[in-house]
Amino acid sequence: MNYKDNQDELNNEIDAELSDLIEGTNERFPAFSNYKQLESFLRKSAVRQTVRNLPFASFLRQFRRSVDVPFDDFAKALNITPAVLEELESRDTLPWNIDAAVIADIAQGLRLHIAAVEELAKNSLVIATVSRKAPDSDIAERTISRWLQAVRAEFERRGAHELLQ
Amino acid sequence: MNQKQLQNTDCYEDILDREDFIDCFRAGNEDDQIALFEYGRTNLLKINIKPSRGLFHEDAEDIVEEVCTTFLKNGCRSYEKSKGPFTHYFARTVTVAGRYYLRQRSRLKVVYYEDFEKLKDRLVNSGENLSGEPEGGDLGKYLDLVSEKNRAALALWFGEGLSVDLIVEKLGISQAVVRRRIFRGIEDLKKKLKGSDPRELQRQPRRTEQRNRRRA
Repeated sequence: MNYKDNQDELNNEIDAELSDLIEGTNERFPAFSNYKQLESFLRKSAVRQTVRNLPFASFLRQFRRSVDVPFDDFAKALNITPAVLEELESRDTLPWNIDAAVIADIAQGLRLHIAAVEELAKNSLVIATVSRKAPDSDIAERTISRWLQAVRAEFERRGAHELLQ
Repeated sequence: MNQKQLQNTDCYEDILDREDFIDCFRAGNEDDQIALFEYGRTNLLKINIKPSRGLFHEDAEDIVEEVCTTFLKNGCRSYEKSKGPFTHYFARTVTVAGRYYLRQRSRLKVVYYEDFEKLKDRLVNSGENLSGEPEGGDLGKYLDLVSEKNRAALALWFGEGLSVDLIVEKLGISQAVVRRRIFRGIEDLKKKLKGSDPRELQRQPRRTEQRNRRRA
C-alpha cells in the first residue's frame, strides 16, 4: 500500500467518523431577502428529528450562517429578540438555564423535534463537562431532564404536537 | 493527572500521544477527555480560520467542538494506533471538518426564495398537472420545456432533492456547471411559463441575481 492509498483510506475513515457532519452541511437553503421569507420557509419545512453533533449555541449559530440572513432578521424569524439570540449563541450559556418558553419559540421556529432538542442539550453537556463549565454531570443531567419536561409541556400548551410525536 | 497539571497547555500533546491514550479515552477517562478538548481548543483552532473564504474564529471553535463531541460520543471509532500519533489523526479530522464547513459556506445560493416556493409548489407538490390529471406533481411535464442538459440538473435538484455536491458526483461535471444548469433551467422555465398560468414567475431580477447571471 503506497502513501496515496494510505491517505485515501484515512480520508474515508474520517468521512465515516464525520458522517453526521457531512449530511448536515449538505442541507441547502434558497436565498432569502427578508425574515418573512425565512419564517415561511421554515414553517413549511419538515420537522428536524436529528441534528449534528453540535452544542445548542453552536447549532444556532451555524444554522443562522447557513441560511445567510442578518442576525436581527434571524432573531425575528424565531420570534425572539436579538439580545436573547446573542445570549443563546454565547458559549457560556447552558441551554437548560434558558426559560423553556424561549426554547419552545426557537424549536417551533426551526421545527426542532423534542428529540433534537434533547440531543442538542446532551451535546452541550458533553462540551460543558470537558470545558469544566458543568463540573457535576449528574446534577446537570437531572436539571436537563426537568428542563426537557418543561419544554415538552410548553409544546403541548402551544399545540405543537408534531414536535412531540 | 491533577487539575493543576491539566491547566498546563504543553501537556495536552503528551497526553494525546501516549501509547494508552485511546484506550483510556474510550474507557471514559475524564482527564483524557478534557485533554482532548483542550488540545483542540488551544492547538487546532487556527487550522480553519480563513476569513477570506468565510470561516472565522467562532466557526473554527464550532468545528473543534463538533469534532470533539463526535469523538466523545462515538469513542473515536475509526482511529487505530497503527495509523500514527493521535494528534495527527485529530488534526486531520478537524481539517476535513473545516473543508465541509467551507464547502457549505462558499456554496452559492442557486435559487431565490420566491422562485423556489413557486417552482417547488408547481413542479413537485402540485396536486394537478398541465392536462388536469390528478397527479402528485408536474415535474416531468415541465422539465420537457427545458434543454436536455439543464433538465438532468433540475430533475435531480427538485425531484430528488439532491445537493449540488451530490449532483456533481452523479453527473460527473463541475460544481459551477451544475449551478449554471440549475440557474439557466429555472430561467428557461420562467420564460416559457410566463403568461401560461396565473401563478407565473414575474419577479424582476435583483442586483445579486444579475450578478449571478453575469457569472453564469
